[in-house]
Formats: sequence, C-alpha cells, structure tokens
Amino acid sequence: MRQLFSLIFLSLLSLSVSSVHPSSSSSDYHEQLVLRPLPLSALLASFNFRSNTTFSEFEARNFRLFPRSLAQILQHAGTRELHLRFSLGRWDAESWGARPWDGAREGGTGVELWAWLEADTDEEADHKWLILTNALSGLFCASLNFIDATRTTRPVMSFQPEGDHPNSTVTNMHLLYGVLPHEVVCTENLTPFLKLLPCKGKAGIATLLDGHKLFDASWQSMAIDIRPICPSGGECVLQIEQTIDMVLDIERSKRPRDNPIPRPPPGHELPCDTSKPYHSHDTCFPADYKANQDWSLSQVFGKTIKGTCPLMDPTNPPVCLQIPDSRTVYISDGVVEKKNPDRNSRCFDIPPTADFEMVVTPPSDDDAAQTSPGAVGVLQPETPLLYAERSFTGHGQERGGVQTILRNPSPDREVEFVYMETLPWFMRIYLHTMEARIAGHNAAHNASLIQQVSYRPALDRARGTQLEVRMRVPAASTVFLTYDFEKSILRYTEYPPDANRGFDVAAAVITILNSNADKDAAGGRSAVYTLRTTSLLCSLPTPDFSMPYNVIIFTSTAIALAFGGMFNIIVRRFVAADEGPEVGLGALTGRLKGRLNGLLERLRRRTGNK
Amino acid sequence: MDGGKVTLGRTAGLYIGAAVLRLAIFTLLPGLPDLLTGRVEISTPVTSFKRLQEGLFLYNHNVSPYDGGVYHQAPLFLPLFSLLPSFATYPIFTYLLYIAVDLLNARALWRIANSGEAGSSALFTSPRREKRWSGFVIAAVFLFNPFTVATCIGRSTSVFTTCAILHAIAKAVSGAPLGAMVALSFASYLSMYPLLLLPPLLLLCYDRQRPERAVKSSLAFASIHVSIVAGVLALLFQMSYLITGSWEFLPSTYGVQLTLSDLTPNVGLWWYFFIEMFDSFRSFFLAVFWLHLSCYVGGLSVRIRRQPLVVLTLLLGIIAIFKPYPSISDTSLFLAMVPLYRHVFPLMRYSFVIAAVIMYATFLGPAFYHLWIYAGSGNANFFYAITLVWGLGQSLLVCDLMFAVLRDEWEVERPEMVGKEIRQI
Amino acid sequence: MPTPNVAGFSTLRARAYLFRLPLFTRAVLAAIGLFWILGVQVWWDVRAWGALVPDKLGFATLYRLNTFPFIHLNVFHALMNALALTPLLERFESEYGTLTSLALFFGPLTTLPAFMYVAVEKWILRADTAVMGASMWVFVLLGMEAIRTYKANPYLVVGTHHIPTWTTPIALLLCVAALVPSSSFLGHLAGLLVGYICGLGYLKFLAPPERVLRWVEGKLNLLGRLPHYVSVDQKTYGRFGVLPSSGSPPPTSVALPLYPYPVPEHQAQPSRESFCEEHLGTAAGQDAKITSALQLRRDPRILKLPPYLSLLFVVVGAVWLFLLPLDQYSRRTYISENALLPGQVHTYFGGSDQNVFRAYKHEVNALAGKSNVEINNSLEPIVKGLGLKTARQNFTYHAAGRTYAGENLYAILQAPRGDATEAIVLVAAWENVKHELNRNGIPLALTLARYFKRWSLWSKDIILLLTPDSIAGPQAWVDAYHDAHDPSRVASLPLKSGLLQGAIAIDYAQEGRFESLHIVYDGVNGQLPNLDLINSVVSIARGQMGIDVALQEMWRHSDDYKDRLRTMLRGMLKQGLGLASGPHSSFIPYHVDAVTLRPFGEGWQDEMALGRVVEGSFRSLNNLLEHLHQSFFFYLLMHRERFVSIGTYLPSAMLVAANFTIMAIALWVKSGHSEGGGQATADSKTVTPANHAAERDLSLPLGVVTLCQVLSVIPLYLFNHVPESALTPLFITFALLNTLLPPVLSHLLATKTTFTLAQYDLVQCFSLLLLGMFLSSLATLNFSLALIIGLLAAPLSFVRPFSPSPTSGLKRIACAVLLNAVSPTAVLLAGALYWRLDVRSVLRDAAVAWHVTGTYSPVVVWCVWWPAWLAGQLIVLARPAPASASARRSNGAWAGDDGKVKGE
Repeated sequence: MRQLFSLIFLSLLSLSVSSVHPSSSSSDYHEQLVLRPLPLSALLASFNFRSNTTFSEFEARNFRLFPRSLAQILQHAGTRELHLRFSLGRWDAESWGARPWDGAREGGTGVELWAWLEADTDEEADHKWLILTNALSGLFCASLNFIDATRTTRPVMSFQPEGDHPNSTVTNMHLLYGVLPHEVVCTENLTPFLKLLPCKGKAGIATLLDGHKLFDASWQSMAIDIRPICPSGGECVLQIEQTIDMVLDIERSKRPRDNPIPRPPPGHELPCDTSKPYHSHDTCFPADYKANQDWSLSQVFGKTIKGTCPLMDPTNPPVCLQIPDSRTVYISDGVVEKKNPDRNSRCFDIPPTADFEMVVTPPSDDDAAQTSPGAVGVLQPETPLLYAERSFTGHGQERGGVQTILRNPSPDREVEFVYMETLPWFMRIYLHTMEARIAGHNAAHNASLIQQVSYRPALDRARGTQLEVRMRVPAASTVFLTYDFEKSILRYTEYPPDANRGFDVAAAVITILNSNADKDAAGGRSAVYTLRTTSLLCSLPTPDFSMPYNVIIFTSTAIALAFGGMFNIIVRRFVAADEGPEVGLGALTGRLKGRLNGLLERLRRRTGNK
Repeated sequence: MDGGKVTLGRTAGLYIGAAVLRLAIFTLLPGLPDLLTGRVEISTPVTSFKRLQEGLFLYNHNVSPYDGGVYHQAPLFLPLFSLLPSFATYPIFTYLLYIAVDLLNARALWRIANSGEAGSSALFTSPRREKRWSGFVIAAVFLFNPFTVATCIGRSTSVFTTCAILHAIAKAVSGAPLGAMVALSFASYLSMYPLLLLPPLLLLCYDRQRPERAVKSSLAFASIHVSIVAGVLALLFQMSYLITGSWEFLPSTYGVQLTLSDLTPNVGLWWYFFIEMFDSFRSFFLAVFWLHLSCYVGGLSVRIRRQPLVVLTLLLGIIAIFKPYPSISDTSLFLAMVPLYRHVFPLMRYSFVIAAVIMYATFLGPAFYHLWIYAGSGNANFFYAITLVWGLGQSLLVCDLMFAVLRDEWEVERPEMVGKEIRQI
Repeated sequence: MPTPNVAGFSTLRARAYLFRLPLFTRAVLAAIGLFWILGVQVWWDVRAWGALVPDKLGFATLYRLNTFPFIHLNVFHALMNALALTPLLERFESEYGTLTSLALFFGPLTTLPAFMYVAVEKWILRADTAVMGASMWVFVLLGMEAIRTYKANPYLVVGTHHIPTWTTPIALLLCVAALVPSSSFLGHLAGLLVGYICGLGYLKFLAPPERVLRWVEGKLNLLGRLPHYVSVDQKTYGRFGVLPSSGSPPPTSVALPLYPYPVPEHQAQPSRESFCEEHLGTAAGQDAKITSALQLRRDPRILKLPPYLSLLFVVVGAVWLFLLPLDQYSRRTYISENALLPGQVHTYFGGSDQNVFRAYKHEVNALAGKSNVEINNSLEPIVKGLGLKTARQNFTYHAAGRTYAGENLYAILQAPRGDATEAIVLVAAWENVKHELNRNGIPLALTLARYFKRWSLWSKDIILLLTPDSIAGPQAWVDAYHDAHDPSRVASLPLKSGLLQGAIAIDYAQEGRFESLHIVYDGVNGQLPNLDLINSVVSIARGQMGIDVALQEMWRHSDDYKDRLRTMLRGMLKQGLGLASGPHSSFIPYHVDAVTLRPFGEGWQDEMALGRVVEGSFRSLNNLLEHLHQSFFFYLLMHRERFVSIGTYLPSAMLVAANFTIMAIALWVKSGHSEGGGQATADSKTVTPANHAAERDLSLPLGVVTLCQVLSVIPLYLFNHVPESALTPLFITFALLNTLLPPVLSHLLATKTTFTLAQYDLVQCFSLLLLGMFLSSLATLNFSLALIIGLLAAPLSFVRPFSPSPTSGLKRIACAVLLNAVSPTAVLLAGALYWRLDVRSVLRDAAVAWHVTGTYSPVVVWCVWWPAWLAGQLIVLARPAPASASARRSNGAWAGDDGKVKGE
C-alpha cells in the first residue's frame, strides 16, 4: 500500500511540475439550474454543481471545495477517475426527445459505478475496487458493497476516460464497472449527496432539492463524476461534478402536499372539449392537453430559491429557463432576466440574498394553434440519435430470449454504437444464437450489422457475463438484436427471500460512437451520445423451499431400496421354499407366540386351581 | 449363423428402415429436433447438443469454451464437429453423422448377440440358451426403441459414448482385447463413468481371448490392459491439451460431473437432492453418492464372475439410474442390452409391473415438468416425484434381471429345482 | 375350453348374494338401517343417546357399549360401513354360526374395543370424543381375517421385500385415518388390536362352549324355525374347505353358502388347474409358509376379485364427487398471499369521471357497427390523448374453412418512477363471447385508464388492451407478447412491457345499471387462475362495494348442497371442454392469472361501482411483490366462498383411472394363467409350469392395439381440417363407419388369424393399460376431462368376449349395441341434443378452439378414448379360437423365431 501511495504521489508530482503557471482561477465553483418544460405537462429540471481543486492542494490535503470524505476515499483506493450514478424511472424518449447532457450524466435503474483504478495487476485492482465499493457504500448509504466479483465487469469498448491522463499512468489504469439494478434509490442517498456540496444545500439552487419532490419525479438521476482536467498551459486540476436531473409531472407536483390524492375534480373544473356535439353539463370529453402549462417554482418545488451560494463564481447565471420567448414569465423583483439570442431560452441573475420566485403563465391561444396538442408552448424536443427498447421473449422458466429493438430515426446518417450487456451468471446466454436483422429486409443486409464482439462468458458462481457488441444501424431503419439464454436453477440457499419475484437484470448501455472522428490515443472513439435501456426481471425456476429434509429422506430411501434389493439378491443363497430354517418376522412372531402361550397356560392353570 | 442372401436382404432392410425413419423425422418435422434438444430428459448439461453448438462457436472464434459455464464436453468434439460443414448451413451432415452412429451401435449389438456370449460364456452355459433372439431382433429392438430414436433426434452427444461402450463389448466378445481397451478408454474420455466398466470388461476379455495368443496369468493380463487404457487416456488428454492449449478442460469437463455444480434438472436422483442439500454437507454427500455408484462394480464382478457380460449389462443399468447427469439415452443403452437375456425372461417376476411403471413415468414426467416450468401451477416436487418413480422402476428391472440370471445359474447345480418355488436366505 | 363368461358385475348375482346373507348379518344391517331412519327424525336425538361418549359412560349408560356400532353420523357413513361390514360379517357368521356371532358381537368383540377406547381417550388423552358406527367391528373382523391370511401365506413379495400380510389392515387403518375426515383413529385401532388378539386365538375362551350352543339349538330347533340360520355344525367345515393349499377337492355344497359369489365352473377352472399344478409341481409337500407373489396369484379368490374391485373404484370415485359439496369435504376460501390486502384501500373512482365516461360512451356508440380498423382509427387518438403509448397488431386465423381476422389496439401506461419490469393488463373486448357489443365495457376501460394516469403509486405498468373479439384477439396478443406466435398469421408486437402479473377483463354489454357481478375464471384447457385472485375480487366486490358475486352462471345461489353441486358440476363441465370462456382465458396458459368481470341483473349498481371494483383489484395486484404463487391452482369452486382443493378431489379421478389399470393387471395375470394351464394340460413337460408369465404371444395383440391408436389420427385430422359446411355430413358418415368398423375388424381377426381368448385378454389388457395411463397423466393437467372420459369409458373395463355358444350371438349383439351407446360419436350427439346445439356448431367450435386457442380436448377424445372404445368393441365381438390351437400357434411362433435364428 505504502509504495503505492508514493507511486501516486510521484505521478501527481510529475504532473504538477509539468504545469508552468498555477492559475488559481481554476479552483472555483459553478452551479446552475436549467428548467425545460417538456410535452405532456412534464418539466425537466437539471441541477449541476462543479468545483475544481488543483492537484497540489489535493495532495496537500487542504480541501476547500472538494469534499474531504470523498477525497480521502479516492486517495486510499488509488482512484484516478470515478463515475457514480443513482437513477430511478425511465426517460420517455418518444415524447421527451433527446436526453439531457446527451445521456452522459445518467445511469440505468439502480446504482451504477465505474472507475479507473491505478494498479499493477488485476488482483491489486480487484482489491482496490473492493476497498472503494465498501467505502462508498458507507458514504452514500447505498448497498454498493454488494458489487462483488459476480457483478463486476471490465468493459473494453464502452467506456473511455473523460479526464486527461498522462500516458505514464494510462498504461496501468484498470477500468472496473459494477451495477446494482435492484437498488432502490431514495432520500437516504440524497442527503449525503447534498452534504458533498460546498453550501450543503443551505443556499443557492440546492435549496430546491428535497426528497419528496425528487423521488416523486417520473425520472431522476443523480450523478457524481470525478476526473482530472489538464487545461492547456494550466495546472492540472481534479474536477468533481455533481448532477441531478429530474422530470417532474407538473400536474402531480402542483398538488398540495397535505392532500396528494388525485380525487376527480368537480365537474365544472374539468377542462372539456366543448366542440363535441354531445357536450353538456354531465357529459364532458376531456381536453387534458390544455391543462398544466402554467406553473411556478414554489408550486412545483414547494419552495423558492434562497439566494445564491456565496462561493459560486458570479459570472454565470444560476438559473436558466428554456422556453420560447413568446411565453411571458413573471419573476420576483431584483432578479435580472437575460434572454438568449436564440429566442428559446432565458437566464436569470439572482442577488446573493434575495429569494427567487418565477411564475410561468399559460400559453396564449395562437401558440396552441401553431403547435401540436400536448406540446403547446414548449420547445419542440430534438429527436435522439437512436431509440432502444429491450424486452424478454419466450415464456416459462426454462429458457428465454432477449430482444432489443434499435431504431435509427435520422433519415440520412447511419449510427454506429457499442451495445453492452452485463448479465448475472445464472442467465446462460448462447452466443451462437445472437443475430441482428433489419426489419423488413432479407438476410443479405444483416451480415454487416455486427462489426465487433467482445465476449466474456459467465462462470458459475464466479463471474457474470460481459457482452459488448459494436454494431451499426443504417439510416431510417429498425434493427432487431436477439439472443437466447437458459435459466439455471440455483441451490435453495442462493435464492433471495422473494424468490418468486424474479431477478433484476441490469440495463444495457448503448454508447454511440463519434462517426467522423478517427481513433484517439486511448484506442477507443469518443462517445457522442449514451443511452440505457430499461432493466428486466428474469424469473428463475424455484425449488420447494420447505423440502430439504423430505428430499433427503425420499432420495435416500429410494437409493436404499435399490441398493438393498440388489444386495439381498447378491449375498443371499437360493434354497427351495420348503428348505432351510425359518427366518424373518415369521420366526419372531412364532417365538413370541410360544412365550404368550406359555404365559396364558400358566394363567389358565391358576384360574383352574381357583 | 452363416449369412445367406435373405439375411443380408433383411439386414439391409432393417438398417435402411431405421435410417429412413430418422431422416424422415429430421426433414419432415423440422421443429422437432430442437424441441427434443431442449428436453431435460434427453440432453443434460454434459451431453446437450445446443451447448456443443455454443462451445463450437466459441472455439471457432478463439474464445476458450472452457472459460465459461456452458460447455462441459470433451475437447475432441470441437475439431470433430468443426470438420463437418457448419450446422447452421448444412444440418444434413450432422444428421447423417448421428444416424451413422446409431447404425454402428446396432451393428455392434448384432455382433454381441450372435456371439452367444449371453447364453453360454466361457465358464457357464445356461440350460435355457436355446430360447434366444437373433441379432436381427435385438438390433431392431434397439433401433426402433423410442428412447433411442428420441436420443438420436435430440442429437445428444451421449450416443458417441454409447457407441464406444458397445464396440468395446463387441471387441471383447470377439476376442480382441486391445480394441476393447481402446474403445473403452475412448468412452471414458468422452464421459468418465465408463471407467467403472473396466473390471468386468477385463474379465470378459480374459475369458474370450483367442487360444493361440492367450495370456494365461490373469494378473499379467490385467496389468497389461490397464496400462493400455491408461496410455490411451494419457494420449487423448495430451491431444486435448494441444487442441485447447490449456488444462482447464479437465475441471470443466470432469469436475462438473464430480461436483455437480450445474444443477439443471434431469431424470436422475442427484439434481434435486443437491439443490435442497445444506451447504455444509454438500461435499460429503457428493462423496457418498460417487462411492455408492462405484461400489456395485466389485460385488457384481465377484458374484457373477462366470458371466461378465451380465455384469456389464447390470452395471449399465445401475449407472443409468445413479449417475450424476443421466438421460434416457443411458436407459436406451441398458434396454438395448436386456433382450440379450431372452432366455431368462421366463424367470423374471415383475416384467409387467416394470413395463407399466416405466411407461407411466414416461408419460407423467413431461406432464409434471410442464406443470412446474410452464403452467406454473405445480412445483418442483411433482417432477422430482416422477424421477423417483423412474429410478425405482429401472432398479426393479435391474434387480429382476439379476435374480433371473442368478436363479438360472443356480438351477444348473440344482436341476430338480426347475420350476419350484424358491426363496433366498 | 372357456365357456360363457361375463365377469362383469351382474345385478342377478348381487341379488343372489344378498338373498343368501345369513341371519345375524341381516339383523345387524337391519339394525343399522333402522337406527339411521330413527336418526332422521328430529325430536329424539338418537346419536346423542347411543353414541359412545367416554364421559357419559356410567353404570346406567352401559348400553352405549352395545348401541354405538349401530348408530351413524349420516347416510354416507352408514352406507360405507354397511358396505364394508357385510362380506366380513357374513364370512364370520357362516364360519362360526349365528349364535356364536350373536354372543361374541354383543359381548367381547364390541365391549373390549369400546373399553379400550374409553380408557385411552379418557384417562390417557383426557379427551372426550364421541364415537359411533360399525367401523370398529369392521376393523375387528379385518384384524381376524388378516391373521388368518397371515397363517395361510405370511408374506406379500414386492420387489425383493417381504411384507407380512398381517400388516395390510394397518395400512387400511392409516388410509382411512388420512382420507376420511372425522374418523376416529383411536377407535379403529382398538378394534384392530382386539381383532388381532382374537385372530391369534387368545379370546377362544370367551366364546360360548360348543355343547351349550348345540343344546340350545336342539331345544329350540332354531335351524328349523329361523330362515338363513347358520348352525353350529355348518362351521365344522370352515371355508378353508376350498382353499387349494389343503389338497382336498372343494366340496361344492359348501362352496355355495360360503363363497361371496357363486362360482361358475369356468372360473373355478383356473383354480382347479393351479391347484392340480401344485400337485405335480410341489409334490415335496406344500407348506403353508410358501411366500411368493405367484402363490397369491394362484389363489382363485384373488383372480376373481379385480372386476369387483375396479367396479368399487368406479362407484367410489363417482360417489366421492357427490360428497365434495358437503361441509366436511369443502373448505372456506381464504387469501394466502398477504401482499394483496384486498379492499384495504379507499377507491376514488367516480364523481366527474362519470361525465367523462358518458362522453366516451357517446364516442363508442357512434362507432357501433363500423369496421375494426375504423374503430381503432378513432379510438387510438383518444387513448393517445391520455398520454399512453399506443400500438396495433394484426392477426388472422383460419379454422373450419373460415377466417378470423382483426386488429388489436393496445396502450401502455408507463408506471411513474417505475421501470418496465412488470405489468398488469386491463382487457376490454369490442364484443363479448356472445357477440354482443361491449357498450359499457369499452368506455369504462378508457375512463379507468384516464383515471389511473393521475395516480403516481403504480409500481407496475398498466396495459390497456382493446380487442375486436373475445377469443382470437386476446389469444393473438398474448401469444405475440410471449413470442409464441406464428409470424405468418399473427404480427409481432411493436411495443412491450415487463412480465405480466395479472389481467382483468371487463365484459359489460348490458344496458343500464346492474345488480351483481359474475366472475368468469375458466382458462383454456381447464387451467385455472390462482385462487387468490378470485378471492380478492370477491372480497373487494362484496366486502367493500356490497356487490354480490356469482360463479358459473348460477344467478341465484342459496348456499345449499344442491346449488353447490350444480356450480361444481358446471365448473367441471367447462373445465373438461377446455374452451375459452372469455377474453381472460388466453392469458392463463402463460401463467398470467386473469378473470373476466361480467355484471348482470337489474339493480342499482352503476358503471362507477364496477369501475371501483376494478380499481380495487388493480390496487391489490399493484401491491404484489412476487408473482402469485401462494394459493391454489387446482381447485373446484362450488360457491363464491367454498372450494375443494386438489388433495380432496383428485382421488376420484385417480380411482376411476386406476380401475382400468387394475383390470389390465388382472387380465395380464389371467391370460398367463389360462394359457399356461392349457399348455400344462397339453404337454406339461416342455413348459416350466412355475411361470406362465413368459409364454404369452404378445405380437398380435400389440399389433391390434397399435392399429387402433394409429387409426385414431384419421378422425382427429378430418374433424379439424374440413370446412364448416362439410362437418355435418362428415360426422354422419363417420358415425356410420364407427358402428361398422368393429364388426368388420373382428370378422377379419376371426377369419384371418387364430386369436385365442388369452390374446383377446391381452388386447383388452394393453388398451386398458394405455387408457389408464393417459387418464392418470391427464388428471393432473385437466382433472375434469380425465374424470368425464374415465366415467364414459368405464364400461370398457367390464366387457368380456363371449365364447361360441347358441345363446351368445344375441348377447353379443345386445352388448355391442349397449357399447355403441357410449361411443364418442353417440355421446357427442347426445350432448348436442341435450344442450339443444346442432352438431355442426359444436364441431366448428371444437375446430376453432383447436386452431386458435390450442385446445387439446379433441386429441383426448379421438386419440385416447376412441381407440380404447374400438378395442372394447372388438373384445365384445370377439370369436376366440380354441386354446389348443393357441398352444400350437404360439409354439409355431417360437418355431418361427428359431427359424429366424437358424436363418442367420
């Protein structure tokens, strides 16, 4: 361990001396909230907190903005780059369009963790990985320590380091990836998350974050990214970026907290389509799409922003709202509204102490006229590069298949991406059954779809399956990727208490590669867009858990019967039925009978005497 | 037993009939082979054709098939099947291979039957030996036994083991000890358990060796041939090592059978037992089960020394019940050997009961498996109960055959006892 | 050799047997009957008066010691006991004489066990359970019998294990204790013990001395006065007189009163043979201790037993069914999956949702009569407007020359915060099974979907499925959802969610308000949803909404025996037919529990009430953590809160199936005997007399049975593949051929081959064995179908070939005609007439079910029942060749075999 530290130290030292002008401006703190109304009365709120620390300070253990607890863990586990994700729900790409941050700041359902560890051998890397997961599970109140060997994989193509690593360290950096699809993200994960912030959620946009709203969101993802950044000609800094994205259902979050039950509204409050011929006081064809376009911060989040965080660098505005300029927005006084030239977003500068409240009015009717119903007065969502949907095929608890439908919406350019699956070992996949076919084409087109496969088969009770497929989807076409698997039956001690619920299968990670850029130094190609499918529930065959003793008894009896029978026949000798001594129960009862007879005789004699 | 034209005609007819039947099933019912391959009664983790496909795929794509939990079969299968045109494009070649193997088995059985070893061995001649079935009948019984056909259609790799075992016996009865030993070591290489057949096979070879070059001293004979087996096995392992480039095939091929790490259901007694077994006792009971399986060899070889072929038959039956991953193909092998003892059928006591039990189990097994796995309305105990019944039915057959043979022997020394009531003390 | 032989049950013989019952037995039976009749009236409780209650046992009430055996709980109790008691008691009396029996059964044999029981119950167990009924006597007598049998042949050899025969009553004791509810194990045990003791002869001293009896008889001339009186002297040659074990030939005079049944000589034949065999076989002196199954097999009584045994099985199996509705056998339903919490949540559906419902109803009414695609075109935007993801699916089925095509519309409500791992389905078919427009169901489903969208608590996706019809549409959708579909006929689903956890279908075709709710739960091929689902819907509807619930179209159900029975039988019939009974049926084979809710009656419940029931059920399903696996999947519902579980009802089907197997075994043994006997007489040195089992000629019988099975494919194929118009003529022609085929076949067999009686026995044996095997496997998949087929095929196990004799021609014809009355075709016709359907529609529905939902009932009828029936008919029309020919023939067969051998 010690020489390890020294090693890290040396490398870091080399970095720091290599940088010429230590610039203090890089160790600053940004935070920003971007609000973006989405179709179907949804609201995307993405919080972003970013702070830098120079390596020299990091090494000297004087953490100004960098959370001390996390920093110590990183140093202890020799972590060069870390990415941690807590996610819940699913992003509805059809109606909401492309993902925020191009999907780079989100994870699959549950908890996802991947990190680049510095180690000489795989064993050392595993050991450090164990340290890291255990420490983080303590820090974030998540059961990250359950990421054991069977849940850990070492992806080859999917992930590339985001930070700038000197070539000296790249050689002995190990990427490990672990995922817990069954983990339920909840408030106890949010609190430690906020504790890491410089203002601890007491001031600035972080004041809006509160468990009830966050975990009532239709989709939410908390991300922590730590990576070294070496600006050209500047000192290398260690950057920590915390991101929270959530999609709120406006109608749901506008409900008062004391009465959250969606009782049917009184008849006269129901938005009706009065154009219908049969419209009357007791008959109402609902016109829901008009509703819930007007909202205010306090309505949606239950509170207003309490000033700004004093540590924040004042140059960039803390709150931005992406909404057409045609919509009118009322803001509390003292706040400066700056409209962007693109006429589609505006930002707000907030005085350090004032509260910030914002009221968005319902769209005017001419808006409603020109846009499609359901998306009135909001920006048209940009279509993502790829739609992906994964589901199981087949039924029964013996075998099944996985089918992923990949749709490329763009009319002209094809998409190339890496499709990564991490499967538990009890799903025995048959790789020779994997095939990709284009809907509505003959087999000829399918040959070139799959370009490269990296596969690490599962070992029973030792490690899970790791499958990475680099493939392409031609323009404006849909590709079905399918493969079969077999469900193995476990020992009865290996089942969880709710065995009949099934086992969660982690989301598949799809990393769309930058098509025009050629390979960079690390040998991989940078990702332009990342998306994750939903997780799956795989039901295994279950034994009868109440049976151990009975089974042992029955089987042993059967074996004893067979063995006894053969043994008898082998060892005993044949005699004619009337030869030989009398054996077995007959003899026993005979002797017994004799005894009893004698006894009775004596009794009778005695009675005779009387 | 000289072959006349008629016989040849009948023989050819039989073989062609069997081949055509299988080919027809393969081609006319394209869905059936995969269905049968999926049945747990037919293909076990160590014989499944689908797993072989996977192993082949990995092997051809330079991933070690033994670095995974799927492929547990002998390495030599990989080059063998990669020589064939790929199954995906030309399945017909695979079909032909399997059909050919079945026909070879039948041929070997035919030879065993016509040698008359069953009726009159070197040390013992049954008074009833006249009443026996010709090789034709026995080959026909084997070829048209539904279990055999199902195994062939399901393309379980256990047919190769069957082939090796039958040829070992055929060689032995025709007085070619060397061939027998080589064949047996192939069988053992493919699926380990045939090694248990070595002692009785040695006895058989010893009894039937040709007078002109016979080794008188039994000890010398045994040592020579055991060393032959060891040599061939060593050679095979070396070849496998050269093919796969590492020794990791040993734990993955034979270790799985020894430790039963793959608990996929089958018709045997092991799987549910070790699913429900407490972890602390697992290894102990594994040892006990293996000990139990191997303990029959000595006893039978000693007791029925005079008829080694009987010992082989009985052992095949016992193995088909008690081995870790049994399937109906093992049963079909046993049932193929049983008709050789047509002459002691009259002495068997429960033939009808046995037939009824086995048929009942054959029908109830799939029904209960369906209830458990697909309908979800029954639980694992249903199928488990049927496997128990299946095992008991077979063991009853083994016992009854053993009894009949022993009584046949006994009546030679007590001729007046023919047809009397007897008992054992 | 064989002469007229009707081993089947004949009333004549039964009557003869009853008339020959001796005096004391009659008296006892009469007493039992009398006490039962007494028990019927209400103002004097006989049971309280006469039962053996340990605490009530004082000096004054000692009479209870003698009265309790006559008094029974109910008619079944009395009937069963009488049935069991009669033969035993009859044998006892005919052996020991009437007086002795009288003395013993009013003395020690009753009081001893009674005292034992009271002692144990009172002083050891400190309990006080009243016992009554003659079963204690039954066990006393069984004990004695067992000891006697044990003396005759001590062991029953199973495998290589010698089971002492005296243990058999213990097995029975355990079975009774296990199977029959409220049976007193202790009392039976006491009886059994006394029986053993008595059987071992330690109670001889209690029997009245013989000369006293003679004296009494002489003085009163009882023999002259009393009819059916068994004298003391008659017992001097006990019924061992006819046992083969003692070498003396059976004195016919004794055989008559002492045999349960008169022995036709042809049946005495085997016994004689076996016993003369024993003479030439074990001349060394037959010892009574010979232990072997063969030994038992030679016992003529054992040979004669099976028909009666299997008849008993059939009868018990049928009676069992009628016992089920009683309270002792059925149980109250309960919910075993605690997560469901039915009716624990408030339901808020209603209020202004009714306005929305009315609007949607206007939309739906406007669409009535439009084409499937138009309907979907106008429904899809509505569903989309609710914020659901919609998709469509085309399907086309061809059956009975028709085409069933359509387009499903379905939408997924994604669970907020949820992940697409699990889903619940809400089904509303555009028209229900009776092809009525689902005019309230569709709008209700839409309104519910809109209402559910507002909730944030769903942990599972909710799938709204709108299908054009109730059978094909859901089937296509479920098949495609599980990728079990044929892509050429059914399109794949573009949009999917997670595992389906449950489905509820709304079928609300009637106009206006309703009174109560009808739950339809039968799945395809008789599979049933988990009982918990039904229970929770019932408890939500009744407990929360106060809506009454009906099952199996029992609109009015007063929870009494008759209604329970009717509900159960209707359920069984539906299950047996295995047709789809609603949109939910197709889900069940995929282990998705589903029911259809169908309101009925004129009442004050409105659509919102039904909506709240659905909401409550969905909330319950939403609570589920694990897939429903706790409660029962095999059950018979006889009332909304009463059911019978598999453990209780399966025995009836298994008994019926077992009777075939028993007959098969018996026939096997018998065929071996007659042939072995024949050869033993012909040339007794060539064959080994000890075992005939090997000497059967199996090839021909096997061939015949195989032929029957192969033929059965033809009707199966034809009836499923001809167009609808051709069905009726096809059926008529097939029925005619069906009646003509057996005579032709049997004629061929009689002329072309020399089929012996033994070989006919083997044919019947194999076909019965197959039938029993199929039925017992089927009983686990579809209990009702197995039971129905089993009962319809029951006569097949009792038919026997007639042998050439002047009168047999008529008998044969009559028997054949009777058998034709239970042929598959005749039964089908009768059923169609009874339910006033025309055959054509029945056959069409069967064909459609076969092609669309994969119902396998036709397979069972044509490939299981029909071949067995054909074989039975062949047996009836058989003209067996004389046995001597058979001997030659079989030898010839072996010679042929040897020829083969030489040929090599």
